[in-house]
Amino acid sequence: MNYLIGYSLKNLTRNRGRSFLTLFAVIITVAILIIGNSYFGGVTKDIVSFATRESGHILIQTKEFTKKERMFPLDKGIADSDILVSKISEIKGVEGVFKRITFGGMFMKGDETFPAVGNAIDPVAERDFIKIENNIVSGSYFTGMPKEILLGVEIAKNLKCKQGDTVMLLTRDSYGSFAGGKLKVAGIFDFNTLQANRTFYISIDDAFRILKVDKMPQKIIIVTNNIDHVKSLKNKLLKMYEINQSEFDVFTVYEHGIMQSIFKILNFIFPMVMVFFVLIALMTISNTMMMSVLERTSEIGLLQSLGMKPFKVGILFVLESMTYGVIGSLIGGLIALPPVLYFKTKGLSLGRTITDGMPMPIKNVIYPNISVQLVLTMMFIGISIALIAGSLPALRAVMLKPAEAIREK
Amino acid sequence: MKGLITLSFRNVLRHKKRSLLTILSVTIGIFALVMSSTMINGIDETTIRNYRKTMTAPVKIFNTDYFNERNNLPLENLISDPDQIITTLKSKINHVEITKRLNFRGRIIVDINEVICNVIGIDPASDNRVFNLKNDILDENKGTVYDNFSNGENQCLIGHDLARIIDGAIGDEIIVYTRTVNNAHNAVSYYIAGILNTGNPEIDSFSVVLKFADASILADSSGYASEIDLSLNGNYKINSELLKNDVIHNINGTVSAYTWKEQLKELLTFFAMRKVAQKLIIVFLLILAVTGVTNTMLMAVFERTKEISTLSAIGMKNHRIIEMFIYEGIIIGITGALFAFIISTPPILYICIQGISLVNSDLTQNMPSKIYGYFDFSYYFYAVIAAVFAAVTGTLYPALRAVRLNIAQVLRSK
Amino acid sequence: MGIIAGFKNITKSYHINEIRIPVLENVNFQLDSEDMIAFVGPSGSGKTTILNLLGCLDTPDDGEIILDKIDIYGLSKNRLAEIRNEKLGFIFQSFNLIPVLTAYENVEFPLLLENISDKQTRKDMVMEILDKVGIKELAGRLPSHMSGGQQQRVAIARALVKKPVLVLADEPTANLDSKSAGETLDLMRKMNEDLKTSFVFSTHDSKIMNFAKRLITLQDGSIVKDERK
Repeated sequence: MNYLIGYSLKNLTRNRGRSFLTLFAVIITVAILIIGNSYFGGVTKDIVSFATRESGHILIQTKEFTKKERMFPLDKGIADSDILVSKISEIKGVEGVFKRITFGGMFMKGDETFPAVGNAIDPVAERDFIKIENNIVSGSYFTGMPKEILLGVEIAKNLKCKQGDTVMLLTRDSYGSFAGGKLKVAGIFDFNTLQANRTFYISIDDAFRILKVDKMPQKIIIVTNNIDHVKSLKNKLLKMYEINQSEFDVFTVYEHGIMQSIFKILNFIFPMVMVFFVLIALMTISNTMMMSVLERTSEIGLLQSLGMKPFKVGILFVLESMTYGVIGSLIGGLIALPPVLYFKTKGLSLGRTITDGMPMPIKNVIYPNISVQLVLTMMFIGISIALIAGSLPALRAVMLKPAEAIREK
Repeated sequence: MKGLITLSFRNVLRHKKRSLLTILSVTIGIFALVMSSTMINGIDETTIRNYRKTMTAPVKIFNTDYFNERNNLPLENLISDPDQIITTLKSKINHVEITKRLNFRGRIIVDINEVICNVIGIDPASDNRVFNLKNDILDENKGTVYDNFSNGENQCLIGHDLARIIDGAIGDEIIVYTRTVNNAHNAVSYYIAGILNTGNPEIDSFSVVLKFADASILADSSGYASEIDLSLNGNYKINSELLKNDVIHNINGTVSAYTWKEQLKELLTFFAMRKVAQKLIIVFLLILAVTGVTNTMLMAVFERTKEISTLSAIGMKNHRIIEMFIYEGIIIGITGALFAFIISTPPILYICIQGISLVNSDLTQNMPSKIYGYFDFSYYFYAVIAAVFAAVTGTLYPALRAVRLNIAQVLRSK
Repeated sequence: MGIIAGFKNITKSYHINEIRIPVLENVNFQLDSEDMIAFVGPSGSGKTTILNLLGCLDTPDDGEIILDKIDIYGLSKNRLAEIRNEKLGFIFQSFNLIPVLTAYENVEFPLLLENISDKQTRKDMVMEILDKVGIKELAGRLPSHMSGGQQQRVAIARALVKKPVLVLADEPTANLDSKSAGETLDLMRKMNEDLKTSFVFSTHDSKIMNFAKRLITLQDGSIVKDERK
């Protein structure tokens, strides 16, 4: 077997121009696959983290609520939420289960007003999972005092207020009466996305009191230990008696609201682009391998007449093709890594004006998301391309009849 | 020349599989070029078209301080004398159509719940000559509905998605609440005269359209306007830059004019960036296609060294030999482009005629809810140019190698 | 009869890995028109090199080559290509026909290079020569569908279609069986008589040696014998 590999390598040096071009195609493809996927991964991660902040990895709410979601109805909440929360907490893979209320209101400070939508969260329980704390740019997280609020920088800017100020929030409670009151700005956060910076957070206990909802949260959000398993967890939840019997909707992070359209578009366009690259690389390699078989017809005949089994002849060509795949993938990986790693630490800044104009919550600085696994997967794809591309010509070589092949000029 | 092309053509056909593979890589590159242009330009064109027929006039006048804050729809820095400006401009600019709008944020109150909305106060008669909301009314008798809205008392038009959310139907009463210019709280009830389906989510999902006078009462804004919108009479071609210049000469310092490009600056920047990304991908695909072509043509040179030498021996000049190979490249390029046209036509037709629906675009404010492909025959032209460019670039090196062969030595070798 | 080509003090050597291998040393000869000359000698004696130099496919290190009264020293590649096209015809050992072109098109090709744009003129010229070499009926065939002898006839027709002053034939019979070889030689003699074209051969083949009118024997890059029969 070893001599076959050596022979394959030597064959690559036969026609350097061609080998170089073929390698070049594999290199570009693998490099682009890695770069593209890591940036795409970075963007996806941003969107997922945006969505996770909004509604966890999995979101449970009543069907009635879903119907009127944009109005954030306060009378369509989840009764007996405590039982549900404790039951879900016991499921394997669930890290945290939190009650949430989302409501709209209008901020007033002096002459300034600003309408906004905010979330009522459990500051203590969610602290380690949703990690708003990391994005506080001025002031602090909830300190535990009643009537505290965290404001997005956009709201703070519009209201011209800073940490420690008092803002007036006007909303309506579950009876439709005007409600609200003065809240103290504990901190101001910046999520680097326009949409997210127009939101605010208050504690759910304050929300229960202000909105008079009788401890009925609108939704329960779940954070899991592995976001890749949300689908199976969702299925598990759907089978739960409490959820099964009541009129509940269960959404994963990919299925809810705005995310649904974004993922639908991204997951369609991006793979399509990548497939184009893979196809072209596939054609270039199979072209080269076909040539290789064609011009070495008499050599194949000779090898067979020397007693090499047809199967081995096939292996020879597959190996040759794989050599392109392996070398090309390695070099492609090496070329792709520096720019990706550089921007992974420095971030690729798109500029706020651009991201603010975007129809989706993308951060204005993108950090490509790269992992050893990703690099290996893409290299594996590069090698697989070579394997597939080499197989057909190799088959042709196997089928050649030695007597005819050797006579070929 | 003709003889050369025939020769090149037969040479391409000599190795059908190889040529096919090469042609296919060109096809994929060109297919990506044509499809992505159709899709992306479609999104851009649809978005801009939706904006222009509903909100973005060729030229708008804003209070200078209002412009930067315009996305928040504040009730500050309004235009205090809109009618005077309109009268002046009408007398100075030929064929101009002018209307005014008052925009602010409000909330629709339904039972105990409420939903954020944008209130747009329009002057029904003049507004429809600048924009075209009437045409987007979801009703067979658009005219009647629009008339009802214009003439009835406390009537409104409402975006179809917003109507769905509040369960509102024609004739229903809705309560719109806002904070007035003077920071007082005010709420007035209106009857839904019609439902709008414009394709622009800012209207469809978020907006309530009132008569200008009604909106002024709700916001207590004493007839001030947020913006003055200008266009030209439908029979005249609009050059927004020229129109803007005309306007600037006739308005004073506190207000300024902005073309639609300035109004949509952020969006257009985003589009431009998306196009750069798209071009980058195409360039890489074409580089790969060039690689494929070079590879094939190198093969062709290698296996035909003897033939090339023979041609040279019987007196063919070097540039003719290069030409011959380049024709081969061009044939591959054009065939690849033709293939791409054939396979891209059905999806393009589908996208252009049927459009692609995007599920609820609740928060994706800039994204139209339905996208139509935008196709221009110039894409085919560019595609052929790109394909031929890719093919010729790919052929150049092999062809140059071909003429550098040592004829005497090649002919000698057996 | 006049002088069609001449070598004056021609020296030529090849370099392989910086080692100079002399091929021709101070070679002098003159060739007459309407003649049939064969260069003979063992492998490596310089036959093919002389033909390549005569055919303007290669240039000498030193000396002067006159071809139909033109000194070819220092001419551009394009000019050399023109000379080949106008004045010379080539016949190769392995025929070297363009595989994608039919017999007719192969013969027509040199005419296209000279921009003879009138199709009928070209057709007349091609059919005339195909008729002369006796394969008129095979005009539409591709080289791959012809026997070696037939292919060599096409090659001869291609060499002669422009009515060159000199046809260079490098081992023209080496790839042919003896019957085809004989027929090919007869054909060339007939062409020599009909068209008054000079033929220059390089060969090992005793048949050619027998029928050539002049025999130049080479050894180690020098002319050792020059006899007219």
